[in-house]
Amino acid sequence: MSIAQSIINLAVEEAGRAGLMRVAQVRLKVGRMSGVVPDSLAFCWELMTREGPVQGAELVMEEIPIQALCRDCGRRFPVEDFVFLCPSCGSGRTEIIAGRELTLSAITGE
Amino acid sequence: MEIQLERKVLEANDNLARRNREEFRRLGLFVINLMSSPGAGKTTLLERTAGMLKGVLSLAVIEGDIQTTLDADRITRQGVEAVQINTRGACHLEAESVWEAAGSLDLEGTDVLFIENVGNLVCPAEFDLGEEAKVTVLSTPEGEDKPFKYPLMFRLSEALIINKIDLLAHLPFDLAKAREEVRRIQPRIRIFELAALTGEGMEGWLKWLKAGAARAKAASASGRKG
Repeated sequence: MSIAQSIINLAVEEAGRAGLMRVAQVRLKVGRMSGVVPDSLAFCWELMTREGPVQGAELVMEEIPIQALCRDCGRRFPVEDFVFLCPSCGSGRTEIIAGRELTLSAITGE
Repeated sequence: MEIQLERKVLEANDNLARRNREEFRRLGLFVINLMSSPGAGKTTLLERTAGMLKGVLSLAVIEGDIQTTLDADRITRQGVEAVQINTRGACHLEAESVWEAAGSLDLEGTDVLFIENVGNLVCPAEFDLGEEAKVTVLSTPEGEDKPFKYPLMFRLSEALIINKIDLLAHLPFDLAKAREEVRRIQPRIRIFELAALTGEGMEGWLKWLKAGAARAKAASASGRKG
């Protein structure tokens, strides 16, 4: 709920800045490790856009897969099944470089 | 018309968390965001920790768990300053309410501030509160597959407490498998296996807290000099 509300607040702010009267679509990047469950967010979004400033706006979510970087050997690798061990050298000193996104990437309106 | 943007949805919370962190560091506090499912034993862990650290470290607690309204009372009974946040039904704590709650505590001279998050393995992980370390509690009755189902919380945690090990004889919980699962997600995590109710296995956890508190004090002192 509070995520959906944050998205609405940002969309309203950006629409105002761009002089849009109506927001038709909001695009969001959702990392697989963002903690956001797309189905739950879609459900909240539907409830919260039945009225109000972004009434009827569509939410389009682009899922971003998880990528990690090994601090020891420098290898970048896709993370499958949440295994964060480096596939090259086995190191556990890895850092998430993609997949934590929860970013408003575009709004469409008129 | 399409407008391209690049705005973090949680930027407002992230900014407030940064302010919290600066203030906590200035005070030399070791701040822990304590997370788990409902009923994993966060409050019991805090009670036991407070009891065992009496006279050693000065603790304070921000209580955000909505599962019981009596949590703050349980903590206060241990002689620890505690304040309850009314989450108004929210499934997680945010940086703003932590700031307000911290303001109502007297934190001068406090070594460790615990923020007991709402019992939930999903949402609390997404919201930075300005803590120094996230600690997750997993209790043995929950099963060892929890890290795989809720990877973000375990990935972001500095330490994992496997609680209720006194029940291991009665449960299918596989301790070795639990360790292995969580280390796949966060290889550097510290794991403490204990039973907060009986006090069994608490030493490693208490030692870790003392080390964290000492680090926070030292960093604050050198910050003041510099």
